[in-house]
Order: sequence, then structure tokens, then C-alpha cells
Amino acid sequence: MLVAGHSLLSWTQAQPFLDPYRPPYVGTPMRLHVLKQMWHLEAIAEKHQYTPRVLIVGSSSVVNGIDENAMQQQWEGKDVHSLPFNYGVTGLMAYELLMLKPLLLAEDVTTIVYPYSSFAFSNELHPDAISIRWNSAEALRLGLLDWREPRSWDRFLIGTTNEYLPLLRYGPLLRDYLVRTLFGRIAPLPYPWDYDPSRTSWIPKDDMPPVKPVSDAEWTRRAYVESSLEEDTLGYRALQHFCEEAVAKGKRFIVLPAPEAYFGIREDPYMVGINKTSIESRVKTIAHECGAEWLPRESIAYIEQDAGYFLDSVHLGAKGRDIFSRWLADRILELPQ
Amino acid sequence: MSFLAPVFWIFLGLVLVAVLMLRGRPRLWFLTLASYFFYAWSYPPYVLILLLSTVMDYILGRCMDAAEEQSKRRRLLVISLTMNLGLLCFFKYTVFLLSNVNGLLPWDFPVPEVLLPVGISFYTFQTLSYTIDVYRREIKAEKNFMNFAMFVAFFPQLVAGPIVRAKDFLPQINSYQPLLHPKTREGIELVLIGLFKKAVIADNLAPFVERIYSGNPMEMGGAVLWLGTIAFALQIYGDFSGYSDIARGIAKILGFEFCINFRWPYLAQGISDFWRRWHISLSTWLRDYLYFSLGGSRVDARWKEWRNLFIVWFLGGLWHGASWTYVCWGLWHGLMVSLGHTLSHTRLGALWERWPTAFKIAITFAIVCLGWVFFRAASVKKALYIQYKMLWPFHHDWLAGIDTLDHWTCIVLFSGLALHAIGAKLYGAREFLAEHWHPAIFVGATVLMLLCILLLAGSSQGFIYFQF
Repeated sequence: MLVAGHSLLSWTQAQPFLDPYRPPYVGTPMRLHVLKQMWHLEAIAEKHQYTPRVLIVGSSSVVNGIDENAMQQQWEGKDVHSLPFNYGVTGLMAYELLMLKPLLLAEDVTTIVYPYSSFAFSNELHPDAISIRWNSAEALRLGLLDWREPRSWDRFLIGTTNEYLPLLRYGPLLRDYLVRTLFGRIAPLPYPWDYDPSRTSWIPKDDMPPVKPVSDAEWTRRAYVESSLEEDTLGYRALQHFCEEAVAKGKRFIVLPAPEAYFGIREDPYMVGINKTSIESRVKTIAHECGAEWLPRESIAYIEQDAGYFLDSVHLGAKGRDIFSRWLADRILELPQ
Repeated sequence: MSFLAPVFWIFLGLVLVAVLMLRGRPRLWFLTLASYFFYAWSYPPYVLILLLSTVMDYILGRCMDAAEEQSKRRRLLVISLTMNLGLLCFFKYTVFLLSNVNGLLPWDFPVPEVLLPVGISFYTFQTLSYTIDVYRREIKAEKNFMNFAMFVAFFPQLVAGPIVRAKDFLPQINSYQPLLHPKTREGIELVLIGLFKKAVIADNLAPFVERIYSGNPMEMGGAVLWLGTIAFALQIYGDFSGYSDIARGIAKILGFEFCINFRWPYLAQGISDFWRRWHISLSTWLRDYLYFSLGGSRVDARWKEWRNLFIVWFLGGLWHGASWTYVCWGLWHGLMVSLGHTLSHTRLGALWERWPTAFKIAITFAIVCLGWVFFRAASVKKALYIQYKMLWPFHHDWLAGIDTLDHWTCIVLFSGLALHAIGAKLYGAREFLAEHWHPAIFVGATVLMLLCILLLAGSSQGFIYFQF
């Protein structure tokens, strides 16, 4: 019945229909938020399955940092046949590029752009997304199943069940749609980003000393630290594999750092003290080895140095988003096709 | 291995297939080994503790049975009590005791990190009930070690009860028949009901309860604190009784009968009645092995009866966890039970008997909820403040924070209360329906229930009672 239910959803194009009415970021529990993002990615893939697409994939820095309309405006009159799509999802780790491979390397995808976050290359698995952004075959290839570790079995079984029974995975989201409809709160999202475009930008405390970092018990902190200190991690290996597969399939793969405000190194307790240069150096090496295009952090320095473009250390506001999106659109055209 | 983890259902499937293929003693050995595998899944070294407890009480039971002199039997019982309670105290209360000693005295004992073996409170009480029953000559010691090991480790009830008595379980070992109809059908029903209570009711209420109890009570009004506490009352009921139902259901499928552990506790008309409906296996254990041993109510002074009740409830609270909040919860119930006993012989007691049933149920539920505040709050101080805000309706911010209650939680909360209110009647109808329904309707209802569980389940939370 679960399989039949999902088939019915697909046949009736219910996913693209319901997508604009997905719940907003504010007031939505994290798990539901991650679910709705996955729903959105699949809805785009279903609705535009024969459209040449440029996918910009990354973490919430990309969710809030890419304006599809601004990119399309930059491409007007320039003989571009692909449409840009914001494929950002909260907390995307580099290993999840392989988890999302069926979507990212679909037939009509021409270009994948990956503005990576500084925490993305650790060995950590995203605790809220394991059962939602999961691909059993890739998980096995990445060695995520440790037969000696019972939790690893549980994780794998839950992920696999949710992967092959999408209706089970999306149960809480469908329930949310139903409850909001019953209580008359269903409405199209006013904007596709997490934060209200009118939200004011961050005011940095340039004259204060750096904050203390949070404990390493926090997985986000561990992710930042591992990404900057270690060279051979799950994230870097996954990036290499994904890049090789993308290039082998004839896709263009562009890697660049996601804009992160200059004050993050001092004011963000998760990011304090991180060596971004080592991360960039590692990513550059991988990009050159696998045939991806690589853009350096210095090319977006003018954005990162202006606190007025940011809502916090990692999320662009409306102005920063517009500038970054247009800049990226121009770079995509300039780089070799 | 949690009952909600997919790996458990694979494990259960393999067990059922093996049980179908095996017969006699090999089947029993397999079930025992499977139970040890189940226990080892979370942390293999602690299987040794379970094995130690099993071997120790098996030997002590046999020795007690063979001993003629009462003094020797008493010594063996004391050894069993010391070793079992010693293990329990070491793993469960060392950190608590040392932390309190360090806090009270100007010393600084190093507090070791002790990982609590899952289910130790349950299987310790289970083996203690065996040795005490052997001492009292209520049962003969089990001669067959595998039978005894199976009694202690049987996986459906190993980690969170019900606390099974040897005199109820051991006789079933020689005559159990797995996968018989209609027990299998009843077992499946129980499992589905248990999963529904846990996954749909308890897990959907958990985030709201967490928001209320991890938040600052100063920013919340009495109304939302009441709602949060009622939600917790339903959560812990759904969680714990759900687990018990799943355990009983699986045991039934395998051919064993466990005692009922919950009997619509929030329909109780008085605190004593509540304890005849809530965690029945624990309350009867405390009554039979602690309260009666202290003299019970057959003492020559009212204060001694109160003393016995307070000892029982103090230890009952402490059993639940190494924290003063659990002790306060136990003492709260001790106070209410003692007051109930005392007042029952007065005019107030007679008045209580004449009040409408709904009123008695509501008052009892409110008293139980006030006790749950201690159980759930992070500290005694916070619990007392929450209770103050709940009981004082004239605070200007009585409705503050009410908007934290989302619509879905509201639906689950009121549906859960409604289902509990009519549940007893539904259960009675179930037996009538089971006799008169076509099997196809049963299959359809099962599938529908399963879909509800799969599609309406909340984010998976651990079973609350696993931590005990």
C-alpha cells in the first residue's frame, strides 16, 4: 500500500503541486525542515525532468545564497539553454553529494555547482538527514556500514527503508500538509529562502576578542575541525568520487567556497580558529585531479569582507544573495563549457 | 536493541523462523541464546553481568532448596540480596551517592564514569523475586540451568519489563507452543496496539514535552505547564504501556503469557487505585517483597504503617533513577497513598465515595500529573516552581506560552486522552469482534493499523523506561 500510495503521488504529479505550499523555515522542527527540502528537490526534478538544468548544491549557505531569478536575468540574451535551480539543503555534507547522486547526475543536468561550506568535509554524518538524504548503494561504497557497530546497522536499515518507501519517509511532511490544510494555514511560501528578505544584516563586533569555541561534543564543531585538520576524510573522498562520476557522465562540475563572512572566524563559536586555507588547498587538489572547475576564495573576497551582505557568519542576506547569484551566473558562463 | 529499530524486526523474524523449525530443548536453548544476543546488541560486555546474576541466583536457589536449616537459608538469601542489590547499587547509584557526598562534605571523591547496563533494574528485581520465593518455600528451585537462564533473559521483557515472577513463567517453559492461533492473532494485536501507543501517541508528544520542560518555567503560564504535564502523562503511558504491550504480544506469539502491566491507569479513582493499574508488576513486587516484609499495614501503630509506606515509596522512586527528582516523585505518591489510607476511614473518605466517578477520576489524574512534574523536571527546585505555577491560577501570565502548542500536538493530545477514556470499552468490544469478524476484516484492520503507525509516527525517541 505504501508503494501504491507513492506511485499515486507520482502519477498525479502531487509532489510538484504541493511543493509551493511546503512549510516555512520559522516554526518548523529541523527534521520536518530537512524533509521538506528533499521534497522540494524531488519536485523540481519531477517538474523539469526534460529541461536542461544547472544545479547549485550546498548547505543552507546555498539555500539562502542563491537567487534563481537573478541568475536567469544575468543569462538573458546570452544563448543559455539551461535553467538554474537552487539545490541547497540545510547542513549538506560533502558525502551527501553521493547520496543525492540520482538527482544531481540526472540526464538533463548539464552543470553542478558546489559552493562548499567549511564544515562539509568531515567524517561526521548529518544526524538529522541520515534517514532522509540516503542512498544505500553509495553508503555501502563509502563504507558507512560497520558490521561491528549496532548503530550502523540501525542507521542503514532505517535509511534503506525510507529510501525505498518514500511515502514512509514523507509521512510527517504529508501529515503537516494535512494539519495545515485542516486548520486553514496552508499558503504558498512567500519566499524560497529560510529568512525573511527584509531581515537586517549582522553587525560584527570587530573590536571584541574571538569568542570561545563550543565543545567538540557538538557535531558541527567536530565537522569544522575535522574538515580543516584532516586530509583524508569521508567528505574529501566523497567529493573526489562524485567529481569523477560527474565528469565521466559529461557534466560540468564547478567547485568553489560558499561565501562566509570574515567575522565568522572570530564570532562564530562553531567556526572559531578554523584554517580555511587548508580546506581550500585540499579541494583545489581534488578538483584538479578529477577534472572539475575550481574557483578560489579570493574571487569572492569582496563579498566576504562586507558584513552588510550577511545575516550571520554563513548566511547571505537579500543584497548579498543578489550580488553572489549574479557573480556566479557570470562565472558559469565564463568557465569552459 | 529497541523495538522500534528495523534491525529488531529482522531479528524477530529470524527468531520466529528458527522457533518454527526447532522443537523441544533445542528451541529453548535457541530462545535463550537469542535473548543474550538481543541484550548484547547494545553493549556486549554487560552480558557478563546478566550471566553473573543468572549463575549466582541459580546456584543460591539450588543451595537454599537443599538447605534444611532456616538460618542457612536466611544466610543464602542475604548473600543473594547483597550481591544483586550490590550490583544494582554499584552501576546505578555510585555516581549519585558520590556526587551527593562530595556536595555535602568537604571532600572530593573522584566520581567514576559508570555505564548503566540496560534493564538491570528489571532483571535484578526479577531474580530477587525468585530467590525470595524459594526462601519462602513458595516455589522449588529450578533444577535446569537453561530454564532458569531463559526466565531471566527472555528478550521480550528483559530490558523494560514487565517484571515476571518465576512461579508464573517457569511452569510455562515445559508446555509453551509458539505460533498457535488464536494466541498469535492476540499477540499481533497487542504488538500493533503497543506500537501505536509508542510511535503515534508518545513520540508525537515528546517534542512538545521537551519544549516545555527544557524551557524556562518563568516564561510560561500555568495553563501551558498543565498541558505539557498532561502531555508527559500521556507520553510516559504510551511509551511504557506500549513497550509492555509489545513485550506481551511477542511473548504470546512465542507461546508465553505475561501478566498485564497497565490497566487504564488514568481512569483510577484514587491513588491506591492508580497503583493497582500502573506498572502493576512493580507495584505488586514492592508490595509482596518489601511492604509485606516490613509488616505492611498489620502493625500496631498508624505511624509504623506510614513509615512502611514511605520506605516503600522512597525506594520505589529511587528504583526509577538515581536522582532526587525520582525520590520526590516516589515520596509524593507515598504521601498521597498514606493520606488516602488515613482519610478513607474518615468522613472525607465517605464523601469521596459519593462523589461522581468523573470527578474522582479528574482529581486523581491531577494528583498523578503533579507527581509527574517531579519525574520529568530537571531538578527538584524547577519541579516545585512548575507545580506552584500550575496550582496558582491567579498569576497574570496564566496563559503565557500557550502558542507553543501546535495543532498536531493538540490533535494527538486530545485523541490520546479520548482513546484512553474509551479504551476499556473498546477492549471489551475487541473480544466480541474477534469472535464474530471474518478473518479478512481482521487482516484489513491490521494493515490499516500498521499504515497509521508508519505514517503517523513521530520522530523516533528511545523508550523512557530503558534508562531504568
